[in-house]
Formats: sequence, C-alpha cells, structure tokens
Amino acid sequence: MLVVMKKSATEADMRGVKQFLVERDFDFHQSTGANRTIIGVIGETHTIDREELKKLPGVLEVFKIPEEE
Amino acid sequence: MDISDIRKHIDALDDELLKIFNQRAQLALDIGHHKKRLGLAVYDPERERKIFERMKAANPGPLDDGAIVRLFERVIDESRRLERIKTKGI
Repeated sequence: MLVVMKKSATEADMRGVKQFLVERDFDFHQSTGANRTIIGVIGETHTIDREELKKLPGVLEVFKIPEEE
Repeated sequence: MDISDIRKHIDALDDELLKIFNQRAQLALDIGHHKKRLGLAVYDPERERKIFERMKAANPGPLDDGAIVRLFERVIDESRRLERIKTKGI
C-alpha cells in the first residue's frame, strides 16, 4: 500500500500517519521527494481501513497495490 | 587513482558500512528491549527528528541535507522494523 502525502503535509501530519501504522503493527518506508513524501506500507495491508487512513490530516491518496494473479 | 582502485576503495567502505549498520541495529535492538521493559513505544518521532537534525548539522557534503535525511530515514525504518519483530513477545 502507498500513502501519498499532500505537499502541504506538516511534520505533525507525517507523525500522525506513522503512528497510525505503527499502532496497527505495520512497517513502513518513507520516501521523501522534493515536493512530496510517499509512505510505502509493508505487511498484510488488506486489514488496513483505507478510508480511515485517507481521512488522516495531510494524506492526499492511499493506493492499494493490486495482487498478482 | 583509476576506476579499479576507486571501486576497491568503495568496496572497503561498503564493508565498513555493513559492519556499522549492523552495530547500529544491534544497539537499536538493545534500546528496544529497554523500551519494552519500560512500556515505551517503538516509534519515537521526537528521537527521529533529533537524529535528522544532528546529522544535517554535522553533514560535510557532498551529499545534501535532503539526501542525508533520506538515507537516515531508511536506516531508522529498518531499525524500527527489527526492533518491532525482535521484541515481540518478550
């Protein structure tokens, strides 16, 4: 799963998303670009409530990675 | 120095980095055990922020501060993951 943060996302927003993931026992890798930060979530991501994650401050979009056939 | 010499030098530095990454991971794990015992959270954003600030302040280049933060983000991500897995059930 990929969490794309808004350009305007603050440090506090980032912390909120990471806290959300850590509390649910997920690992993540943060990729910080010049304009945007993307958080790659690792694990059994089908158990994450995508809508709940999307509602967190600073989150632009949450993408589910399609499963392979 | 020719390319082969430079690559040998890079290989030696990579060996050193490998050792240092693992030493750092072991120390993070030791902290993880303490945190578990004290009931503290694995994720400590304030500590992470301080590490990034310290590394940026000490950065001599040529890597820019953004690159330094990204590298340390990755190191910290992996440390946190290891800490979470290894301290589970302790």
